[in-house]
Amino acid sequence: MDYEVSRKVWESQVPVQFTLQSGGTLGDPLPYYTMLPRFTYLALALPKALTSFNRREDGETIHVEKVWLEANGKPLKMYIPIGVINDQANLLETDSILEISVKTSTAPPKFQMVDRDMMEAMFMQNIKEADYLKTKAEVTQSMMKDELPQLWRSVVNNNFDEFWGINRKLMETNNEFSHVPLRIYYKDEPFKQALLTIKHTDGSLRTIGESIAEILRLSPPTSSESSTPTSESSSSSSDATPSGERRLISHGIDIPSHTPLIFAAKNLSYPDNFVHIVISV
Amino acid sequence: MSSTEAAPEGSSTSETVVPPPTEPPKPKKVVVKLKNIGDAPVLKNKKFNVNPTDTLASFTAVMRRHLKIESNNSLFFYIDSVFCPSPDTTFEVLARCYSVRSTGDEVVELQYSITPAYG
Repeated sequence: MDYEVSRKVWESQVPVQFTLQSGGTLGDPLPYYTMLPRFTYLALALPKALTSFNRREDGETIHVEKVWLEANGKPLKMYIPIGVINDQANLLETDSILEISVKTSTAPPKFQMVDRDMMEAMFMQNIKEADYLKTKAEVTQSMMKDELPQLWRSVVNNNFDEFWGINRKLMETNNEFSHVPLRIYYKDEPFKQALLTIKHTDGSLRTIGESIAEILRLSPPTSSESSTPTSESSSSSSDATPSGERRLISHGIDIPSHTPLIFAAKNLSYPDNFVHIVISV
Repeated sequence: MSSTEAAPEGSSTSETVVPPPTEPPKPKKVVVKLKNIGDAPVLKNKKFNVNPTDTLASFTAVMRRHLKIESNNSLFFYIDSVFCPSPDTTFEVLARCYSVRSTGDEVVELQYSITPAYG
């Protein structure tokens, strides 16, 4: 583990604007602006935004279970780390501020409200899945009963030292990771994931670029853009530079495709122990 | 008589209905085997063929109806009795990462429960 890198990753934040669109008689309250750690979740941030909206006098009180969230015209997935949501939004437009609409209309069926308790449960399941990929869940099954909840509390309380005190066990394992927990996101499709070893069969380290090519080999992005120039010469020239143009973004940074996968796993994982990379195909 | 009439017709249609060679093969369905744990209702048919693009969230919605579980009650799915995959995990991902070989075929085995299990 590289302390400096892990510390920087933990401390990076994104500016977020919450706007309430309630259609009430008083008009909508002023937006709520905040800086949120990339590793946190909307389930933790939303109550504070609502408290701000509810502060004005005579306004109707907005309850957390009655709202749903949207960004760039799409319902948000509240269980994805905010940094990933921000990286997805930034690929669409280069605005650096993440604009989230809080809506009081009927939620679309695709939206799932996730409260703090649900988020805690989902977070711990993600850690177990990541550890299942890395060690067949050897580490999590040998942990003490309170260690996983403590990991979650350190996320809630933004406590880097407490987090790494326990996370070290998940990262510094006795044996090499069998597979690296890596999820890739393209547009608003569900993430893709595959079994990725840290090394090739010849013993050389697998890179991030190779890992993503491997995931996409069996499951290319489904939504093909109709505007893609196919039969023109430009397509053959883009074939000449395979994956050279693809951007790989994590924590707001363009990740060099030659980065070893194991480096990303140890240093660029989110607290849920997954490496989350947003790609432009 | 009728057969000689049909022959030119048949040959003319077969010329136009040549399948485009660029068509990608239809994605194979994922075979899913379910097993109940705890007090979860037992299914008569435990095997399902699921579209690889379906997510665990959409599958859960379908299984709620199958199992007659009301919306205010929970339904959890587990892999290898260890963890619940995230709701937007597709069956393609489940098949690629967690399928097991049972009698020659690749299947995704899921355990389901109406209460949180395995800690």
